[in-house]
Amino acid sequence: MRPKNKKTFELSSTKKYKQYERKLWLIPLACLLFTAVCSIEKAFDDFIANPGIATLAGIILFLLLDTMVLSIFPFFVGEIIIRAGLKSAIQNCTITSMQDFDYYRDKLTGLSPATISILTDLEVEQKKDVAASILQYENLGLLAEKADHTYYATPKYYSCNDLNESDRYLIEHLEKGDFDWENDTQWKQLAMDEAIAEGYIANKSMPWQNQQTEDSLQPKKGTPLKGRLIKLLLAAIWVCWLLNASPRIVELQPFFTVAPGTSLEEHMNLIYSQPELFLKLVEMFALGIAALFIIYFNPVSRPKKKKAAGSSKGCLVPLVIVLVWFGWALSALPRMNDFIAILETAPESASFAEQAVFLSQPKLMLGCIEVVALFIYTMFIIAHVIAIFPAMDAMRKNRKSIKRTDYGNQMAECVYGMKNFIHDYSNLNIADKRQVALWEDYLVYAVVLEENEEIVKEISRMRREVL
Amino acid sequence: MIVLIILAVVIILCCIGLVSGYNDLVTLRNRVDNQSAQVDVQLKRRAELIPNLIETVKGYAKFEKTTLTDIAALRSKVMNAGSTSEAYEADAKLGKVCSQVLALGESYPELKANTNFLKLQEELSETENKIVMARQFYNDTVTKYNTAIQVFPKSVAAGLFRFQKRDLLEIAPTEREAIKIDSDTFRF
Repeated sequence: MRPKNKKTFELSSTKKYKQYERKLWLIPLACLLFTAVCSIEKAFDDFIANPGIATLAGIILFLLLDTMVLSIFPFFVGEIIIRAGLKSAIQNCTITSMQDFDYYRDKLTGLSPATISILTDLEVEQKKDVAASILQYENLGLLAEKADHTYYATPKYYSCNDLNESDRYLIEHLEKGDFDWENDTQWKQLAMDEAIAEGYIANKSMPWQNQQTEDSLQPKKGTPLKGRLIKLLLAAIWVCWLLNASPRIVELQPFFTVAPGTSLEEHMNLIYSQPELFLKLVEMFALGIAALFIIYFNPVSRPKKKKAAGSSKGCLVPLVIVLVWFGWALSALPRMNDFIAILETAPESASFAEQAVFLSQPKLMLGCIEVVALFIYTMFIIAHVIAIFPAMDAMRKNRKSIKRTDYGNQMAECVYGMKNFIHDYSNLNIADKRQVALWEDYLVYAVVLEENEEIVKEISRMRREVL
Repeated sequence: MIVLIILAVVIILCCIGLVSGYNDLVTLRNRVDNQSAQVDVQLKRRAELIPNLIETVKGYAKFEKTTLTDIAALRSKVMNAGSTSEAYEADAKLGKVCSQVLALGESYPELKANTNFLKLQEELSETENKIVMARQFYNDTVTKYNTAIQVFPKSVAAGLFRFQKRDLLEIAPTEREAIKIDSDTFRF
């Protein structure tokens, strides 16, 4: 079977980040409000003095510009952190579709609520998974609830021999009343071990504990001869280029040496007065990037492996972004001087309408666009530098030491189809606990797949009453 | 001019709302049809199992000729029903007869030991469960659809494009009665 496409579970772990992302828009909104409050008086006076659409447009434009300048940095930082968290959360919730079906209607025989939960996002969410398990035990007649909302194991439980260890652990501790409702790591570990033992998931760090899959039994392929030849050819071309470029690189020496008694500005002006020097600099960077490309170029197509954080491969894109910024900033400096010179001719105090007329000069307008674009680009880079540690932390929190096996992936696709089916074809989101007799396992699936949150809340409320 | 612009914007927004409402209603109606087909599949599956059951039981218990004719008529009604509700109604009666035939197993220990009978009993019970579930999902889908066509603003699109209300599959009063073996139906 050939993988067709990727499917992602819409779960609370991803919804949480999407909510944060929506809330992030409050930053520009707050900045807009702040700017509006600060400049309302002046804007109002200007509009009274020069009523018209041009003045209004000018006021709106300046408000938006102010808002952007104020909010762009915190917005970028927040966006980067949230995106990093969302990306890693989505990774956990994404499966490779093999059969490409949207709905699955049959019962998920053999899958416990905890295993279903693990298959969806590689994690046991104790609150809902325990609620779903209790619902299932009650439906099967293994567990019953007393009037005071405590639980007891029924005689059927004692005669039932085919229960998993995690089920026995949960039922017994619920009966004794010593189950840790907040975070029972032992139950979680048991559920995880069972999912590994049944071959649904595999441990990344301890592969010897996993069931062997077809994938792991396949011999690892090395780089074939053809690939090596391509790499060798590229390396030869690069060496020829280097030999050809070496005299030009030597000529770059003035760029790195500042003559005594020369300021940096004078030095930069000297460099800009020689455009060929800049071209040589670009060639040197291109040589460096080509060298990196050849070193990491792998002509064999093999499944993508996750990049280690901070690896040189992962750094290549940021490096290119910074180099482009550097090149752009350097080339923009002389234009900036002209731009500043024009700005200096601007009146010290001007109304919005006067400012709009002043800025409508074509040369100034182009300069403004470039300044704004360069400002956004610079903020984008600075925000990445500032947000790198919180973003890595968000990614680390979502990083899992387990992955789905091929078999687990197939089962996860069935679970995905079941979630869609329950979502589109039922009103189980409003069903209550007593309806488990009517809906049987489907209500259990609705709880564990986050389609019904009321039952989780109901069970949690009863637990609080007991405590 | 400004009034015209506002009017154009309002008309465009209304059109977008109407198209979106129409698309949602079509999706819901297709889901109802799809789930209705799922109910039909299960009903027909049970109707197909009945002749096998009768064949198996024939060797142990003798049936009235009219009983066999009735079963055949009901089965044909289920297989050729024009709508899900018709098929469901006929199936309810067929299900009752089926339960009575299955209950014969209690009176005939040899029948209870027959592997074919046991297999059919299991299959019928499984199909019965699937019918119940399919009906529940059908009713939920119909409820969603009926709510959508009655609630504003989708009710506007529903009215314009004539989306009709669908009926729920309800349990017939006869089906609510407890199953009892009728001595007139079977001669032991």
